[in-house]
Amino acid sequence: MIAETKEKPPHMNPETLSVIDLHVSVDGKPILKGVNLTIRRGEIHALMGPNGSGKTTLGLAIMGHPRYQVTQGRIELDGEDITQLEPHERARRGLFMAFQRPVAIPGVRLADFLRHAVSNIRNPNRKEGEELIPMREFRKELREKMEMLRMDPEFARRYVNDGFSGGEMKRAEILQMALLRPKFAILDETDSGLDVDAVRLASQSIAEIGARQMGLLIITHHERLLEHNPPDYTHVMLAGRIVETGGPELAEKLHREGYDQLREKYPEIAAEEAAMAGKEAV
Amino acid sequence: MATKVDVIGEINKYDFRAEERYVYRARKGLDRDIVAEISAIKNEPQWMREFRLKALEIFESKPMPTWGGHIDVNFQDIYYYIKPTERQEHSWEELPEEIKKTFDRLGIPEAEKKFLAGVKAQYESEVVYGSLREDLAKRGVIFTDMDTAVREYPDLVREYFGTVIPPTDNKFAALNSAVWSGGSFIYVPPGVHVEYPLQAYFRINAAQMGQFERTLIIVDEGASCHYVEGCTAPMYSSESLHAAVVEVIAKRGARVRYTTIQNWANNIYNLVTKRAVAYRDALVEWVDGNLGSRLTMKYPAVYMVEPGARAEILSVAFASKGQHQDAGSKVIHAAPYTSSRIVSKSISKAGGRSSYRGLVKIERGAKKSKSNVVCDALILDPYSRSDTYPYIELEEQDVMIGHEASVSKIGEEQLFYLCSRGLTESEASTMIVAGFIEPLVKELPMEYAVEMNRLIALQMEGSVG
Amino acid sequence: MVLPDLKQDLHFTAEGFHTVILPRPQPEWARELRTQAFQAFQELPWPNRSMEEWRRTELRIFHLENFVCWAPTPDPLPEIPSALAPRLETAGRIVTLNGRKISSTVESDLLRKGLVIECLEDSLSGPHEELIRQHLWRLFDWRADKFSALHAAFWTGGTFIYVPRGLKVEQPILHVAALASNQADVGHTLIVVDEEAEATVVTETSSLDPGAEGLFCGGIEIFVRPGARLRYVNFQNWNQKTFHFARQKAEVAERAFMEWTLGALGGRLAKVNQELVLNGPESEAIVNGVMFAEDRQHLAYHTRQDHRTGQTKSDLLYKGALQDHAHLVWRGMIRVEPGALRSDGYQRNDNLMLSDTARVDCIPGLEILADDVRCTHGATAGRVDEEEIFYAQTRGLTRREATRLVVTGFFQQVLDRITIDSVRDALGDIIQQRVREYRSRE
Repeated sequence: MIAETKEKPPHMNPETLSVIDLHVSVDGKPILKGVNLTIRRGEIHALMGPNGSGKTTLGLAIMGHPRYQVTQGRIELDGEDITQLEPHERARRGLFMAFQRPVAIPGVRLADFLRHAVSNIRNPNRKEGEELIPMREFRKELREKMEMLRMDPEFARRYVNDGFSGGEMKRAEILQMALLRPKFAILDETDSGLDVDAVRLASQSIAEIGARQMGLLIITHHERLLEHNPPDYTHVMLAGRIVETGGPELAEKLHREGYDQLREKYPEIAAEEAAMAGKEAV
Repeated sequence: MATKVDVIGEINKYDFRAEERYVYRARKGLDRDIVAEISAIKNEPQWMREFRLKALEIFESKPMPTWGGHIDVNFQDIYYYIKPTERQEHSWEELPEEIKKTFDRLGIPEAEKKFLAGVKAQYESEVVYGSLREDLAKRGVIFTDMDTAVREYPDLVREYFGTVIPPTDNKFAALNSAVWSGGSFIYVPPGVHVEYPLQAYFRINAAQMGQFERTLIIVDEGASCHYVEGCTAPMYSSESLHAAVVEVIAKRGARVRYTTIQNWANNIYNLVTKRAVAYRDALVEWVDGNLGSRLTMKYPAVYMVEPGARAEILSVAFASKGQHQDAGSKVIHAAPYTSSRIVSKSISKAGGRSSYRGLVKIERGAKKSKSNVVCDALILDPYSRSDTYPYIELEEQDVMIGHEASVSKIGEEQLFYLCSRGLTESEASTMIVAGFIEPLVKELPMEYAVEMNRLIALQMEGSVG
Repeated sequence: MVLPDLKQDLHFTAEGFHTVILPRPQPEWARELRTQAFQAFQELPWPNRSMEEWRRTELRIFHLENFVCWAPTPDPLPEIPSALAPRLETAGRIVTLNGRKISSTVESDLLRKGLVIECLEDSLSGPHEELIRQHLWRLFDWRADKFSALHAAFWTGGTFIYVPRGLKVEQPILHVAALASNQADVGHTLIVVDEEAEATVVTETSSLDPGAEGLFCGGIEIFVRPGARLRYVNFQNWNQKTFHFARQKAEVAERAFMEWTLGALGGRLAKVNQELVLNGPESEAIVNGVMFAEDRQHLAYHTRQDHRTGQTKSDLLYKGALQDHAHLVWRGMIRVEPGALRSDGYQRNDNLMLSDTARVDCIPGLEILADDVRCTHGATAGRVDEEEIFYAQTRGLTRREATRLVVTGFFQQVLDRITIDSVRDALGDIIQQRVREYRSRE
């Protein structure tokens, strides 16, 4: 099944996000060592793996974080090579990432920030300094989305991620996703740091904002986040590679059993993982 | 030549004086003759004699600093050179009884018993007792007094002496350059790690004595060492002056830590210039405890001149009655990817004044440099004073600079909590102060940590929070 | 008033002083003071870099002889540009040109209740002479340096605002201080907010010609009497050729409150001393500073928070951004006097460096002579955080937009402390216009 998607040349796949033989280094240190992944719109992919295996790196590389250097391979969106694009150009083409720990931008109100973002993404050809979307229209939409996510409208007056609790941060990320309506979204541990109820709420919210129409890559440890968003595919990363791909049953299995069996199955990669972890400790 | 002074009994462990017995003492005052005489007695090479005389001219041409603390010293009323023994002894037993008693009271031989790498003890102007573990000597480590170094390692000394702190740097560095005597010289060859702290003790015994030790530490590429010094003096009715110069050179990849516990008597002017140069990826750490003296003006500095160099400065000052601790730190980022961290803690009590004076300078081109400064001050009563004067000068944008400082008194909740567990208010205050300076104390070698806590307890005696 | 037959160009010299300044109509006590100040002006040395306060400020580009000490007000009056005037609903206004009043208005109801917005020099010999005499120069040390002495000797015109006891003025009082080409403003401002009164005063400076030199050498004294509340904004928005030397000092009495905002955007060279004295239990002040420097501007701000008595609270936040070859200096001091127990002092200075060639010196300071206090300061400096830029970029903003947003946000944190909406918004807009492309990444 996966072999099939791999074989298909990516440019034949409109509505597809493809990662092809991706190698990524951070500060000269290789983290990803040849990742292949194809997501079509409407699919949900779960990405699992132990800490340090490269899951977040994959997400940040897809978004174009400047510190994450692509040393080999490429990223394609609807058949277009976007590997060299600036982050905002990727965003305007319909990519989104909900960050695990989004950075605070003190002094910038969430509402102002989002109005700017929405104006750019809805109108990818908007030039700097051109009119933003009308305030009334935006406020109305923002209010609706916040209501849907059971957020206090006052929240939009706060500075972006500044002093947010873990739950607030995650909800603010989902709110942005709801407003920006990306084609593809990467959710990086949107469940971490949340209690059981908050995870359920986040999980429901993701479903409610129409994630089904997007292509989703969910990086998670938590089964519950997948409850409302059952994955079509589950991938497991180890030491910078995707070592296994399966259906929803793989996610359940990993939750039950952890990663040790996988390490036994791929002793060489596990040894590499240990070596990388050792280096980090120094 | 020997003079006698009445002994008025012990006040505390450090505030005792021994009878003054000297082999030689130069007359009071400062002029070309005295400087030439010191150089002659030490049998110095010509270049050092010229260096001293030139420094004297610089000293005389420089005005007294107008900032910092009030300095009331008559430079002509000071003995600039006293020689307590004929020669340096290598075993403890050989030392004259008076000096031995003094150091015994200070606990120096005990320190040696604890397998310390080496001990230098300086009494008045000269180093009187020195030892260095044999294995270190075999690995090429040099730990000797500065006078010996000038004689025995002339090339090494001449290459580095006065390069980090030239006599023109400030008035007291010039004074030291003119009349210096004693101090430590350390050289650690490339790749050698000295595992145990090298130690020195300085002591002023005579009244109206100036002590001007000169320390030079060169830690070669990839090598490391930790130097510890303690200073004490008994209380005399007249002021004495301590003006040391300490130069540290940390070559590529070297690590140097320099720890000072200063407990001069409360009538000593302690005006010290300490500076290190750190080359590529080197780390220099100053750990500085200032408890004694009437006025201390001391700002250990690190010049980070190559990429990756780092500086860590940790200091504690305790100013009690009649004391002004004007201490701080200077970090100069002159190369990219350099980082510094400064933690300063000060306590003011019984009318004492403690001032933090610091400089963080990022020169143009020192990209990706980072500096973080945290100063915390405690004021224990309404008569005391605390100042903070940090200077931040930036010529480069791609940097991260943070500075924080706070001044407060001991928290009433903390006091109450401890008292509710049965401590008296005084015990509780002492405990809180000990906790306040814990970040420094935990960096000290064990015996110094114990000593430091004891000294703090002594300073805290009779104070009600 | 009969003017002496004016020769051309009377400068800040003995001739200028004796020909046009001393003969001006004024009470004898004021004339006496001027004479003393003039003597001090002649005796004091020019500030130089060996003086700690001037160590970072290069005065060589300034030439006093380029300016005249008095020039007649032009007729007809030019149009006075103002960023704030069109945006503020005011209780009264005063417009000065080269330090001298050209118009003032007070809402009639407030006029009846005793609100005064007038030319200070004219008021010296009027119904408020005694009040002025009690306050004038009390907070201004004209012996402090040569510029202070110059100001006290040569000042003309000026502004006097008096809010009588218990009067609560809802809307802001606006003072627009304009400067014509190559002219000097040596005006003095005296603001007295009497017991239990409340007011908002906004001073905006404005150059008629964006390309002409100008000199401001002024002083501001502010008295916030017991239980009174004053919000004061000083928005320094001269052109970038103006020399600005200013001393402003406020005394906040018991139970009184002051919110004090400084905008520092203009000036070729600005040297400002802003001093706050908390002089009575339960006095409180919030101090905000917004500094934005570009090109070759040099802005040096020296702030002081004096806690004279106990139970006082001060909270200072200065934020600076600089690009091109600009140089910012901020030097702050919190001083707590002996016995000023339960004082709470705070100061913070954050700087954003937007170019490789800019330079910033920040020197916070504490002098604490009492034990039961809480005093804290903090300072940061650095460039725009790349992680923040990336985050905004992943939401579709270009690098440039993202940078502008982050810089605006940086200032918003201090603007949000300004409780006068119209002033806050106007300042925000002006800063936003000034935040240009951030060109640094390489």
